[in-house]
Amino acid sequence: MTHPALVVLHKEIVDALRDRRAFALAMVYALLGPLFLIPILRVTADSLNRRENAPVVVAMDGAAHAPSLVGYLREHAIEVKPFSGDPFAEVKSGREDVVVVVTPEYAAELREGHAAVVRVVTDTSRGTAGPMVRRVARQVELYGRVIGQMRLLARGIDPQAASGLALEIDDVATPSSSGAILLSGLPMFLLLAVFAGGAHVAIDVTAGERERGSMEPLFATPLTVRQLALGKLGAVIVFSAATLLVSDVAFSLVISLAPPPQIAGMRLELGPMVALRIFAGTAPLVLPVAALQILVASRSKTVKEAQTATMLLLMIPMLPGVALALSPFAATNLTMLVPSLAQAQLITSSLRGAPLEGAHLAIAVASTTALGALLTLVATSRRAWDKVVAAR
Amino acid sequence: MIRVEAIHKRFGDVVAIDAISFTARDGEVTALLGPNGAGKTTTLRILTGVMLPDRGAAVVDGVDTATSPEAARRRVGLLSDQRGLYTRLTTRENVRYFGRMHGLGGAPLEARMDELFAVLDMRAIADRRVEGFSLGERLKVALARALVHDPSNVLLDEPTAGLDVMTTRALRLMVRRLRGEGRCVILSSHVMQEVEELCDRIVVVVAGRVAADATPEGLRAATGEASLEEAFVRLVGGDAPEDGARRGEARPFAGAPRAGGAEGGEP
Repeated sequence: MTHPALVVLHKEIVDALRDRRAFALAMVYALLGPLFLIPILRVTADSLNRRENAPVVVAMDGAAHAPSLVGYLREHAIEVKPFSGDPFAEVKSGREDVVVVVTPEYAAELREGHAAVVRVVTDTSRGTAGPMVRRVARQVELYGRVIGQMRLLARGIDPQAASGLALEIDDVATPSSSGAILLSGLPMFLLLAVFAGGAHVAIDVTAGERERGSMEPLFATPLTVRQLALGKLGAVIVFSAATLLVSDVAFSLVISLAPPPQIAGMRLELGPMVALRIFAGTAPLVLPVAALQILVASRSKTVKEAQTATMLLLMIPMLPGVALALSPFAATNLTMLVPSLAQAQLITSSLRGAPLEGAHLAIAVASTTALGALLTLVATSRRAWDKVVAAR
Repeated sequence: MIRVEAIHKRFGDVVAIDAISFTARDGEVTALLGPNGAGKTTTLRILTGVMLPDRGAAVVDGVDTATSPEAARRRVGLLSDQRGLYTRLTTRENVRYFGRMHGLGGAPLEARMDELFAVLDMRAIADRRVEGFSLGERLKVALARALVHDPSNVLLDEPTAGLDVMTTRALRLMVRRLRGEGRCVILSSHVMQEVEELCDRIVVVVAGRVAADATPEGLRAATGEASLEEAFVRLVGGDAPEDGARRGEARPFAGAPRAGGAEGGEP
């Protein structure tokens, strides 16, 4: 004789698989991230990259005094257009974002070995001016450094002696922002898959079954509440875990087939081993989530009520994602005690390719499983099912 | 055999069952007759152990439903008033699910289902999904489901509600057949004609109490009415509306005379 809980599990899986809406919904949530997050990331990064490297035209007052500076800028994708008038008025009025001013003394100051003044007039309160002025200022400064080095060489001094430090600024704005989106977005979507994958099933097998009136005849069989609840919980677990797996594999495929823009200093990889590590790290979360959904849905009087309550639960996977995006904090033994946050951090560290911290994983699995066991006990208790069993 | 011993059930302030006692014997069809909300469905729920009585006991074939509900349920087949079928499953899958709940499985279960499908004339719908079935077809599936474990006691809650003539006939044949097989059948209903035609014994329940417990003839004689319907109307107090439902339930039983001569409760 098959255990009654297994009979329930089998029936609920067959039933849910034939429920096209539930199936489609689970798939939508599973593929939401892979299908939208990565392409959006690519488009944003591409357009940012284009903007960074696209030739810009900058107005220059007195360009005639500094032909070599103009040439240097042109080499670095900054075209110069002649300008005459009041640079302050033009910038303030918004007709120009940036005006470079070269005074007639420029050439003379250079010849005499002084620091020639190049003034950049801008209004950084305008969004478009910021990136442009940074580019122009940087190139002007680099040009100045080149001149300085040539002067030292001319005097027989190693240019390196003049700089005690070699400051190198790499502008990583584009890659790191896309990296941040990916590093906080991917855990969020994977956690969402865990929460959303089984939600419809959880509602259908509790409040749904109650609304359709099939609970009463069921409880006229020797089936106990705990057996029934365990079988139904099992079905939710299967759907939740399957959705997580599909989402994980889809992310892996999308990232491998169409790698997103590189992140400075690290390569984002989601090969089979990383995908496996992510799944193993996240899977324990399925139990408490499924138990919580069964508990909430079985306590609801109607399907509508259950849907509202389950929707609120969807906020949970968002929280660690949002928190990590706002202020990334390191994974510690303490954060591993918090289910959902722990999984988000484990996913992030897997993505970074950081070595697996055994202690972290152990604590996360233990705390999440403990919470899952506790919720399972409550969700399969006769008390939790009072409403479903008795009322109609 | 089912014995109901002075059960009492209260939901909050509402007394659903005040004091109900009766015995339903094997090889007989016992009717639970009463207006809506009289406590018929609650009584049946107590018989299956889905609900526990606050006081009193329900005993199925000598097994107390309160102390060993699982054992009691094995002896009972329930056709609930809400058929509650799984529409995405086929007839066979619906019935098989319940069979497996009762510990059946494999070839014996399949054979039992084939037998039931033949008797209920439903082989044509055996492997179709329940989605879109007519009320009559749904009743047959629910009935096959209630009988799959060959229970010695069968509870039918409003079995003919909403059925067409042919399905009602088929159901009556089935009820007679169950009686002929020596099973104890309890049928809750407020359809007088059906009760008169099928039942050996009638337990009239009004406002959570047994107003009468007699044979149809006994009931007519006791109330001095020629038709069972008139007898029933007298028992429920004449003015009790058919769907007087819940508010009648809370009210202490008044106005309905105890059927003199009819046995009340315990034999």
